[in-house]
Amino acid sequence: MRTRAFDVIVVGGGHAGVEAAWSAANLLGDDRPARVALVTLDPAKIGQMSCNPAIGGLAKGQLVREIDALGGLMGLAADATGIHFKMLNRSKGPAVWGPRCQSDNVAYARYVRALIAERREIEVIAGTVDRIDTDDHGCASGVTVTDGEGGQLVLCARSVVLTTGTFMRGLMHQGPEQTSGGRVGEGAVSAISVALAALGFELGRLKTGTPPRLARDTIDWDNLPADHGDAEPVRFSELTVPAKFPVLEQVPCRQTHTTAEAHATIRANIHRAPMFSGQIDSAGPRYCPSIEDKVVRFAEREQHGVFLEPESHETNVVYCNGIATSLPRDVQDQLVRTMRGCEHARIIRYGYAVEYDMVRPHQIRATGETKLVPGLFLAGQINGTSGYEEAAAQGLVAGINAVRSASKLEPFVLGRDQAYIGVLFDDLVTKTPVEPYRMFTSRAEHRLLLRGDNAADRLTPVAIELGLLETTDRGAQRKRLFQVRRTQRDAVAKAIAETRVEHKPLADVLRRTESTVDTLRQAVAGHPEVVRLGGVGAIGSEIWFSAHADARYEAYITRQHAEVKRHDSMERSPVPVWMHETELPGLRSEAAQAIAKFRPDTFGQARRLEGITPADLTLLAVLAKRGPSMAGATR
Amino acid sequence: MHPGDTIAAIATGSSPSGATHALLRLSGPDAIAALSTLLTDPPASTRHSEHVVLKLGNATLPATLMVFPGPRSFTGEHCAELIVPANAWLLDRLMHALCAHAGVRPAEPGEFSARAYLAGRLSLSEAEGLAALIAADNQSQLAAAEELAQGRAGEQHQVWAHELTELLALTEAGIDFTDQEDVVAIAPADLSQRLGALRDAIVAVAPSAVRTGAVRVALVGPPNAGKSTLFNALLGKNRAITSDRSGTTRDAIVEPLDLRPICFEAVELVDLPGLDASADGAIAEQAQLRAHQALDRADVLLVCTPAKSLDAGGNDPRAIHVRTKADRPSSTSSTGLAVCAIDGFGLADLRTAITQRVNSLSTVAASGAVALAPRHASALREAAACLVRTLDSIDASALRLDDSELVAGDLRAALDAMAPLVGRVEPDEVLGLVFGAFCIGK
Repeated sequence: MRTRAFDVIVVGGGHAGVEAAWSAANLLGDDRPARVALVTLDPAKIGQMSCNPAIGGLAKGQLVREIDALGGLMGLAADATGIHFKMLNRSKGPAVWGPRCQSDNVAYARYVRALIAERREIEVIAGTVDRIDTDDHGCASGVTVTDGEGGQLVLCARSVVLTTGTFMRGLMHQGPEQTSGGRVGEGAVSAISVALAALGFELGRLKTGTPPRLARDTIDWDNLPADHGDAEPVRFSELTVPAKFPVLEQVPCRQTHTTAEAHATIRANIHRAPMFSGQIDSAGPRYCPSIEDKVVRFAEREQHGVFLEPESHETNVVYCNGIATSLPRDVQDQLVRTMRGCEHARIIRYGYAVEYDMVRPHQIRATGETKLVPGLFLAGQINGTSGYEEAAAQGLVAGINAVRSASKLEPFVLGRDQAYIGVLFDDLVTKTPVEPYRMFTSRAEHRLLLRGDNAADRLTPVAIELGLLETTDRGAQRKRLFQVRRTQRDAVAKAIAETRVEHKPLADVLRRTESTVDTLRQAVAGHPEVVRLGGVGAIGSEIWFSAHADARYEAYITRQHAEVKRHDSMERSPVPVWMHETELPGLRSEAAQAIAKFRPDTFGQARRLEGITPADLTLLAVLAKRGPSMAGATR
Repeated sequence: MHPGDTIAAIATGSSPSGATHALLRLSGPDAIAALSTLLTDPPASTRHSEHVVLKLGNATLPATLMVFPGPRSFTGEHCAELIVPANAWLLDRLMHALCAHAGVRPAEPGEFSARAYLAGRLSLSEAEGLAALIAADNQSQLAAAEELAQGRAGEQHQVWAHELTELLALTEAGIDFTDQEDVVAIAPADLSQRLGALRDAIVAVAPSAVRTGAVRVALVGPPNAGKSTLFNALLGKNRAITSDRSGTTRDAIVEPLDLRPICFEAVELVDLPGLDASADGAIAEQAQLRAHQALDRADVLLVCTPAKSLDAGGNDPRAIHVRTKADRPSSTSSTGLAVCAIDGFGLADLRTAITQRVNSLSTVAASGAVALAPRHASALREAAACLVRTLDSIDASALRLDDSELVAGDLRAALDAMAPLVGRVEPDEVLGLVFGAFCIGK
């Protein structure tokens, strides 16, 4: 049996896995032999978009920007392969603008594979994980893998990151037909579930679904109404060179819709739908219902919109956004052929639902590390989330912490007031999920602070402090760009503060809804700070956008900052570990149960647990100070 | 944990002259600054009491201010106390002004004591009972809140919170799901109209009945039970005349009882003449009558029985049984707290027992369907203020809701403000309403 040693092992090559390997590599630096192992069933599938070929969207676009500001790869890949860019919510305030693109999914996965391949510190290993190894102290020590040739391989590392996606005991449903597998045409993994259960983890089961894919040349494409992307697309990544963007030829989507006839067909066959026949009882996402769900729950609707999105320049495949389904194939055929323009459409790949194992997320910390097995990290759908962006965000944080934990450094946790990534982790470790978790802007109480346009301002300093930008040319480039951005931001801020319009401070004018970026540009054009940098035209449009947004929200931002400050000292104050394991005198049983289950790391997390009142928190603080000796018997 | 914010609570009190006054207490880094915003002139910063002038709207009002700069204060933080007439409307306005504009929040159960403890301002014996104290206090507040929630007022609060949640959901739907063809964001005119109705309803129930009297703790028991000796011992000064002779106390004596730092409610200790049915003579009869009146008005009874005598019995729910003269040879009876006023034995336990009773009383008394506790009143006020702000920011004549993210922020703040009354509404609940109302998901 061969044995190999690494610093970090990442299991899974999806959006969480590649981001975890990438950020770990960013911290570890260019080195030989490779220090990060990326173990995956099939290296050719790394970076694959399993479902919708799109990146970003409302709240998700902000996540991508944050990942980029922290040196991640998702924004790079999306910019390089996007074929339809659109800024959602453009008519709303800048805090809720959501950059989205549809990517060429063949190009996207290839681009991700190329990025991974160029990192000498990452070694891709094909194989299935049979076992999670732990040392005498119960800490992760590596994984045992069966490689492509059937040989056993022992991989050792102080940190292991699991990103299993839908593959842990994945079971696909199509009508009554059930196939084992995490993705169509691929297998499932059961050993990891067994290993996790043996380590004492509580597993759950979730469900998600995907729509049928159509052959584009069988659709009456040109006669359907087109949906074009933005005329001036906005990039995700700071590193993308504006002059060379967009890279790929842009294509429009087409719009069609389901019909009353199709709905009747679905109703007539509803007993054959796994979600209704009782074949599936795990929870699926309410925000992404299947077409059979929509027809049942919104019976009065005679049609539902469907977007036909080309998946790639290199294939004939069209994604049917809006009709995710696990109905039998014959029903899918009928359904598709009732849609306008699709009368003769051929289904290349039928829709299906997939059930998979997850680890209930109260068992991880806000770093991605499990509370039960130090050194074992989880990221992505295994934590009960859905979405490429949510997965990538977790991968990034887990990858960083995997390196930091192995080096005995302080854990890295982002606050709810710092990033959507912080909101994501905090929600995971303080709430009991009822469905796959997806990010929405309404989950972020500080969303006016957490804008897509200011992600670099918020997080690039963090990336620099962590050392994420020290080891690569890209990192150096990000630092240079950030310096420029900071200089320009400071100059514009100074100009705003020192400019008056019609005897009023410019800031007051900019606060009005009707003020625009141009209002700002014109007002400060002659200011010495702006002139010093070469005038209005020499300062990037993204700088003006952020400056205007800051000015517009100033009053609210001040209030939010005050709110943040109010809780600051409590927020990160640690809850001593003994409190998780001790019967705490006077604590109501509901509160005691919440503490014992979630084992909060900080008073901030404890504050947000269901069942904890402000008075419970006061009591916890008092007990924490009294110390374990006075708090009573061990549980 | 080191608490970083500033808290306030109304503790009631009474002046020696008998006119009822209330005490507004603040603790935290901004305590003095926050109170200063209510005054016409800034207070002197040194530790003393001074006469100040409060401004409320256009009205001004004299008050007494006491400033206790940290760390040499009860909580170790900056503290300030304001003595004002115990007028419910006035107290409510004061709390509201502090919470809405000066960045202060109503104190949670036991929070002043907890801060005193965290700052190391409590002795070990005082700290012993603290956890139990907060727990009991929380328990009684939760019970009070539950009682409130089940009453008519509580139902009303639920209805308001639900309407607010729905309006927030409709606003959020227009933000988070605009890429969904099905979602039609709420029209400004509709939002404006529904919010206006909600604001009017909440403002109309201006919370008024805040508890205004001090908690009265009366010492009762047979003549010569040692009540006056205990009275003096609890006060820490010789106020009542004591002797070994039965019937020494003729008139009820009332003195403020300072239980800080474990109890921050205003408490009055009342020494009553011994109850003696056999008393005769006009003066003695008068004394007995006054004693019975005072007894009726008391919130807590310290029923004193000398340790050597038989149990006084009686099951008045207000009673705390005290075995006085516990240094004397004791009978086998073990009911009640054993106290010796002479050497101080048991006094700390008695103070804790009084505190627990006082805390539970003040919350229960404040939780009746009409009488809202100050923090509940403050919750409604704050919610109303958020709604007013929201309405100001909506242009009802517009076709589309501008600045919906700001409107949603204000609605969220209103909902959060109501949390003490109806519980916290999580973003998931808001999203749930959206998913229920609209067909989401392409």
